[in-house]
Amino acid sequence: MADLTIAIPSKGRLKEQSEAVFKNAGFTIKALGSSRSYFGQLEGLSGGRTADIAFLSAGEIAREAMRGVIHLGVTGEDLVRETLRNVDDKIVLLKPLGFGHADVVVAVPESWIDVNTMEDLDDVAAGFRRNYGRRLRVATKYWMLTQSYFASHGLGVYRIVESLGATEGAPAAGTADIIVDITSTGTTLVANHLKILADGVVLKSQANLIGSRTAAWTSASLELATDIVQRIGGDPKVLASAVSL
Amino acid sequence: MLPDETTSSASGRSVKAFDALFERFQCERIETAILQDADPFLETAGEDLRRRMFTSTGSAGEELCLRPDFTIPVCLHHLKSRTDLPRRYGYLGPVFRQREEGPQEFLQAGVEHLGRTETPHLVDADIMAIAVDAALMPDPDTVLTLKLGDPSLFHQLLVSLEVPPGLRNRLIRAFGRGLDAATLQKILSANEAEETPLPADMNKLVREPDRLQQAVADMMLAQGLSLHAGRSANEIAGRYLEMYGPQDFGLSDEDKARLTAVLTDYLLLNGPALDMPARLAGFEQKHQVTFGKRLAQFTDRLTEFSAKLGPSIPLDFSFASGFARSLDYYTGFVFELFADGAARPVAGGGRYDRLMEILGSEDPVPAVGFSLWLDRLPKWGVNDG
Repeated sequence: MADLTIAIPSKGRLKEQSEAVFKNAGFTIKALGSSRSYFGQLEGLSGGRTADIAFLSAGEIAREAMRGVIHLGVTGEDLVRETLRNVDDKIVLLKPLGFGHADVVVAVPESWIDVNTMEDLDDVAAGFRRNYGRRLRVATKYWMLTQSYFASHGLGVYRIVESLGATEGAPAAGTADIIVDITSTGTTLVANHLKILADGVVLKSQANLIGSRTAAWTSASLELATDIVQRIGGDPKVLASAVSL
Repeated sequence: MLPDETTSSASGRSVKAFDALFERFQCERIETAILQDADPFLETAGEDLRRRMFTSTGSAGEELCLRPDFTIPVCLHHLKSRTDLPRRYGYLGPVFRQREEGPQEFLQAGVEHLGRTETPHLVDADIMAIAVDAALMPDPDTVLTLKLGDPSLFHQLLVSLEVPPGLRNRLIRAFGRGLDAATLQKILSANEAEETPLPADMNKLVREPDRLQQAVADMMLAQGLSLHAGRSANEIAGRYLEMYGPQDFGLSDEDKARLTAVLTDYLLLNGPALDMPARLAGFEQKHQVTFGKRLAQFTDRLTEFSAKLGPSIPLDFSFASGFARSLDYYTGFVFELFADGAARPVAGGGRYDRLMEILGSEDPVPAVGFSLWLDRLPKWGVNDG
């Protein structure tokens, strides 16, 4: 086993774009075994050394970084923030990578002409039980982000309906009143007759190089990580001050 | 943080003391399950509570939680037992809350009084007096501070000032979160800069409420929304006209200036509780407003409580005009007890007339109660043996 483990998304555009970041910085990614293998090696580090690569799903990368199983990883900030409250204690964002852009937004039906801000939504949520005998329902897969964002606007009386796919269809399907979901271009929202609240952007997310603060860091692993962070364009001092050997 | 040993099993001494207290004040001691259905908690306190609860999923997919408080289980117990009212319940046992610091499993005791009475303010006084008695059980020399608030006075003030309902609800919610002068300004000026963001074909309907409502209903149907599953076209159009319509909250600049002046002045009404009946009456005179029967109830509650307490108990008793709770089922007076100048209260309580209906009661059931944190009491902290 090498001194450093890096996790990279295991499929799709995210995988290609993540690999491109490393290639452009002069590294080589070598899959071990078949091309479908979940393990690989990063070559081209200073001193001819190598690092281990784990190909994981983007969501797993955030979780494994939190648990300290990997040292570095590439994943979306939305997934990092959704993994744990106070996530900054466990994970440090080292460099936004300029792809995987997605905003997590609060969207309501277009026909709610009276709701344009979180304050409006708060009015509506507060009266919901009195008017309709139940709480306002929010469809989302982002429990944590929704809870903290709503709480920061003083909004507490609503219910989350977990939605793991096609969230934007929930209001029309009658399973929820509004949604909190990711959007990159907004076309899906428009197609589903949903509008984003004026102050409804919960998080402007993109893929990031992240570092685990809970992983077992040695001077050897920090040296390798410093090389990588530097060549990708991040500030290695941020990493050095975030981890303890 | 997991405790090394249990910090939440009631010691023999506290069990005995509370049993005696419950008997003295005719409270029926009840036990409720530690493992509860999470739904009633989330439905009443909202999603915000989930962050502080320990939840789990049962084998049938139902969401369960470790009891985060006693009030809701006690009310549910009553609803299930269908016994007569009024009735007074006492409880003692562990509750569980996710916290960054301190034990996440701790002991609470308290009393809930359910049921209608001709003189609710007298029951209020009774509940406060029991809380004081309970807080003094471990050490009669504890110096207690009692902080009293009464949001119903604020609500009545808004009615008296003829604040339109949409704005009134905003102010009441902000009040529950701790209203200050800056927030007040922000709320009153919220709609000044807003344009009326309406689809062009609706814009001309703004002065015709019925046709605007019809246009909203048409839009809902065209976009695949049921007219009955969620918000009604009637509510949407009505609220639009109120909040975004031709008039800013329906208030003139003079109206707003007066509202600001009166509410700002009201938030300054803090000090010894016993001075408050006179000060509130003076406030009515000065601003030409009325607290209606709320003031009489406030005064009666105060007088009754002072009489119950007697002169011998060392108690610093204050009123804070802005003191309220953010939970929407709290409807009337609220109070907190502090021991020996500590920052966190040892007990908190108040009137929650709306809770029983939220939990499924067919009739409104007025209710008032308090909870005591045993781990915050001097001498009885933990494991008093």
